Amino acid sequence: MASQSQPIVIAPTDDGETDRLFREWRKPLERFLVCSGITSDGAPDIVQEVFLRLHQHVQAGGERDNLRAWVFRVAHNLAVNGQKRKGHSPLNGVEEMPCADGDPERIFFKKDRFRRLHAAMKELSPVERECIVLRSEGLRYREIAAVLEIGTSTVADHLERALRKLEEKCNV
Amino acid sequence: MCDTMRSRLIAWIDGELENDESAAVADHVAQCWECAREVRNIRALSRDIAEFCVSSVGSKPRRYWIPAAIAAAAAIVLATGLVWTRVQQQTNVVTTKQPTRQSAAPLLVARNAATPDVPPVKPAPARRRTPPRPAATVTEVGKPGVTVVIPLDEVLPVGAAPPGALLVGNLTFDAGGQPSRIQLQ
Repeated sequence: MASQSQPIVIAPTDDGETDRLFREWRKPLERFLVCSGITSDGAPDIVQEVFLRLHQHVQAGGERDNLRAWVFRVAHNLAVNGQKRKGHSPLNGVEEMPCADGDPERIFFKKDRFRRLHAAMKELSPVERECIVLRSEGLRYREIAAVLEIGTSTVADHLERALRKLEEKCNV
Repeated sequence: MCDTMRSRLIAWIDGELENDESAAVADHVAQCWECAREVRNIRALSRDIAEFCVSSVGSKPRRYWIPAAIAAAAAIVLATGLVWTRVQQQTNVVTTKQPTRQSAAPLLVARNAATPDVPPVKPAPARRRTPPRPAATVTEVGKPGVTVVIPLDEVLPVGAAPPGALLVGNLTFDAGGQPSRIQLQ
């Protein structure tokens, strides 16, 4: 048989890098997608597709310098393409309202501020919201620029505008 | 707050300014109470946004992407099943043709002396045997058990294993002749 003389090797897929990146970036990607208008049920499917593509990218010897921006860009493109097919969906409702510990007054103010923030996020333009969410996930401006395929200074402008809108709405 | 300062404050908070510019903004914030307050507001808002993003997904444990784990688990199950099928087939053939086994010609599956012999079985009636699917190969080795070679790209979905990847393990048997352990190499 042909296999008898072959060396005994279990070829590693990509040194487990995709597994590691999945553990690290699955949640941030899901948050980014949901805050971009993808349903919380649909987000895991897109994330799975992102990591299948990442696996192929790494296997094919693709660029590894800025994989974080690469992963978010693929997620962004998949979300945009999906929304083009299904029609743009607005920001979804939050799944779990955060609940501060402590006295009822503090909990009330916390929830009230959170509701206003939610309403204000809905009123941002999609690109402003994506900039805000990507910043919140810790991406640098140049990474956000790479994800959204815009200039770095444009990212700063979007963030400045978005934060001003959010601040106005939340601090009424 | 100083009108020209806001966008620089955000970039300063985010660590996006060059050293000189960052130092200049820090000096300004230290002297301007309005800008200092704005920095506090932006930081508080940023924390709320982060909390908002976390709550948007919830904590439902839903996850995918486990090809490596699936591959390993599937391969072990497959290897055990395939090898056991082959062992049983070979046992039937050997019992029919070579009842003593010691003088048997080289077999597809060979065990060393430490491995308990297969309990005698009733000679199987002549039956038509279909050729085994070349998904797994059992090779003879000079150590306990048998070596199993599985071409992963043939048994797993496309993309789950690279072309040419092989899963190789050593399968050992217990006293009853049952596969007891597979050790991946």
